[in-house]
Amino acid sequence: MNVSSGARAAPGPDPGVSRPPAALTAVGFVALGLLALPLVGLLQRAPWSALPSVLGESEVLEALRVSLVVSLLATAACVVLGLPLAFVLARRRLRFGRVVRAIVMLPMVLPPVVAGTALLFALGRRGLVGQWLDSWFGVSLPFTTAGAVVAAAFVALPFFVVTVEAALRQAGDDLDEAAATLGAGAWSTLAHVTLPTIRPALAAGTALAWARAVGEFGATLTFAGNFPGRTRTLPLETYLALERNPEAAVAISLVLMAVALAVLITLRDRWMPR
Amino acid sequence: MTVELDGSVVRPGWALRVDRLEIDEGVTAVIGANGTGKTTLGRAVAGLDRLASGRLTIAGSVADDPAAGVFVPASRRRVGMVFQDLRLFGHLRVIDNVAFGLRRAGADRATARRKAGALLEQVGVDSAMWTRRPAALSGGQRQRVAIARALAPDPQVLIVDEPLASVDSSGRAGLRALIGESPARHTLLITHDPVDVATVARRVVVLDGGAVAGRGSVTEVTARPGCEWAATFLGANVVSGLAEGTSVTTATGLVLTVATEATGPVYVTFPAHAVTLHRDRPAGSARNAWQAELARVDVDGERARVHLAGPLAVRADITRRSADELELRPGVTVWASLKATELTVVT
Amino acid sequence: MRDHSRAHLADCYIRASVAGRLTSAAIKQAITFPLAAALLTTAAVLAAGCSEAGSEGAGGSREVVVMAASSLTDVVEAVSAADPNVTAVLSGSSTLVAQLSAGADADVLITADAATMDRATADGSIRGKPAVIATNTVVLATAPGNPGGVAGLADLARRDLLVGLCAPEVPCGALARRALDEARIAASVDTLELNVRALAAKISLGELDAGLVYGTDAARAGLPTVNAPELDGHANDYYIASVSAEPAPAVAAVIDAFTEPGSVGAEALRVHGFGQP
Repeated sequence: MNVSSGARAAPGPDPGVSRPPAALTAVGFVALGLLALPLVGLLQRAPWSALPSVLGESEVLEALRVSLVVSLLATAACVVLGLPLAFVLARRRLRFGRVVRAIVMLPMVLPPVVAGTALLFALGRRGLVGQWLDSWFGVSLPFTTAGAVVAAAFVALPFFVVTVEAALRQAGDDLDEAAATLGAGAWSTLAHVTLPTIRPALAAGTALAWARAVGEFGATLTFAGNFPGRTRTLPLETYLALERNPEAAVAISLVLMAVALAVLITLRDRWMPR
Repeated sequence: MTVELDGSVVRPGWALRVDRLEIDEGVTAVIGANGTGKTTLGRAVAGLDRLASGRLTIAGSVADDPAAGVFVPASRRRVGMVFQDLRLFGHLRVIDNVAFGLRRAGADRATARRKAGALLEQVGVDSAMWTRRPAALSGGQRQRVAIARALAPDPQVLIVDEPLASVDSSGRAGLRALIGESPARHTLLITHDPVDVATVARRVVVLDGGAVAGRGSVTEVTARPGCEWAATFLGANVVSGLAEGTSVTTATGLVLTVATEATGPVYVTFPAHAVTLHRDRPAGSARNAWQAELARVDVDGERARVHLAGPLAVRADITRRSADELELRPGVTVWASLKATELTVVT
Repeated sequence: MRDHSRAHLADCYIRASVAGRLTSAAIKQAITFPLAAALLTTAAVLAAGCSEAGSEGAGGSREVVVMAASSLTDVVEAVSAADPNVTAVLSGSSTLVAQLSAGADADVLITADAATMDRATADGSIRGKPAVIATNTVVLATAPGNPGGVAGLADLARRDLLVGLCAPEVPCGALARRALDEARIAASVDTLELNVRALAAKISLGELDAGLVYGTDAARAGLPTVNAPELDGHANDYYIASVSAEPAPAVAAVIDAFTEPGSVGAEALRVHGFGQP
């Protein structure tokens, strides 16, 4: 972890002060093994020599393209919508704050397929809001790339909001007050003080949201369906490949896992804003 | 131009009520025990806390009047603030911290940096530090940067909250001068340091229990401090001199012996009750003792405050009975003595 | 500290959802469980089924684990209602075969077509001799009230309709593709669902205008069907087989409950619209 030289002492254990009992350590390593084992399983089955040709398959490349488009658009939506929401949660005293916060975090713990079903009932062609979208604008989200973006954004949004809200709370409004006494208006303060101060959290939240969006499966399948070149993302392709050509499934899984690991390792170094 | 405040600020659990306070040009010291509302007063003037009732006007225009629905936000008040916890922008270089207010006022980057550099020089921050982040500076250096940052946009009103607490002693005099420098500016100096009051304040506001307990010129408030805390605080004597080892030579040539070593110009402070008065030269030569002419005696209940003229203009608090026994009247000559351990040396 | 744990939660979750999902067949199954009307409850039932799949009764009565294609849900439920020892694991046929080959503990496998059963026999997961217990035909189903005005199989080529099929990897999808190829219809497909129940659910919600589903699923979801002669003769055979070459008597009894004429399973198959072999 990156320990800043601020006034606050860095949280976290000092390894020299208290070591956990040996038995605890042992169980801890068993748990670590449980988490790491699937990775090892995947590596051991990896068709290294066939990797380039498998990943070069047109289906895989098409799914990769869909995944990139969908995840990047979903991430952009998370930033544009999530930033204001994080500000509302961090800076406004909400009447039902706990409930609101629980709603925000719900997609994190909800089975994605339930999320997809809920989206279908809300934004589907016959859904609560979707029926009006359909009859007024002729817009129907299910089974479209836009629908896949909505599904991915829905499950990824909390990761961005929670990360940024925590940073905003930690930063407090002390610096905003200082900026105000120096003549900075609300927008100017936002641009020149608040956002730069929480920049590490913005980066972390964006990366987490993107990683979640890339990995999204259940909600996409349920809400947006599965069609090559339109809604079939890499995770869906992996699932189908498992039945058609397990080697391809392993290859795509490796790529996805490498991406996820890269994001997490990068975040570890600069997770906490200050 | 004045700042006029007549109203209240309500916080959870308590309130600050200020009746018709006028703050004129120059430095006004705000004193009072902890938790009496000093910082809240500053925040209300700056626009960081809203009035619950009443009205605040700055230079004749209303800045806050809840009944009339007027509230000018902090960013448009031209009230600068040096926060007790500094609040420097961690993501900006030192020079850009100082240039911040100038940039917001529309200055281009080069101009803002040039002016910021000049200010940093004035407050004594070495140019090698200008491109560092505030976190890389010492506490005292950061305090100087905070003062420079608040001064940069040339505010009409400057609020300085405990400004010199962590400045290394060598720089205090310079910063004090800087704060007191602009006579046209209204400066509210929230302080716990008697030296600040003695050296730069023209007027004093005493806060006690969320209300104004005393106000006026330093002399007026010292005579009528309004509360026990302020009486003790303002009773403190402040004498300047030149230190060498444990000896401090005052401007009139009197040499005081102190308990801590120092070199160069210093202030020596001691409470009024630490001064002992005698008709004859006190026994024991190690003591600080001098002959002084008595200027005035203020009797307040059982307490008497004795004002001495040269060679040191100091105040002594004694009981009324002692004053009677010593037959103190203006014009008589008495001996004053001080224990070295009662003296605090402020460099 | 709170921020810390939050960060950690997020972190763990990512790990689970990105990494775990891609490697663990169990998670894969959990999240692709058929989208049925009561989604949450069925998901809970499934989860319970998974956890019990490997356990054996300690006493004399032995639990019999039946893995069956999800289109047989109602039929298997009827059998397990009659025989409390039967535990059902329901999923897409190919998923079940993949789980068996990965070592899942089961006694009986019922697949929705010959291809998936062949795979299970080929890799040695199944040692018993497969037998056909029923047939199922694909039908052209439409959303309630047929808002798209679908009149025949050729309408699946209309671009203004939202059309769903099963993915070709699963039996109902393979069947649908064969039928469409034979009829030379280039369907304008919007989604290739991973199992037939999810497809039927989306049609019944009106999110899709039409699709090719099993007759049994159309009947179950109460979907209107449109006469499509091109689909005649396109049926899947449902195969049953015991995992072991010499099934225990309890297992043999369960298989008999599907194969013997007039038995509970055979009767349920008939009631739910499956064809006779």
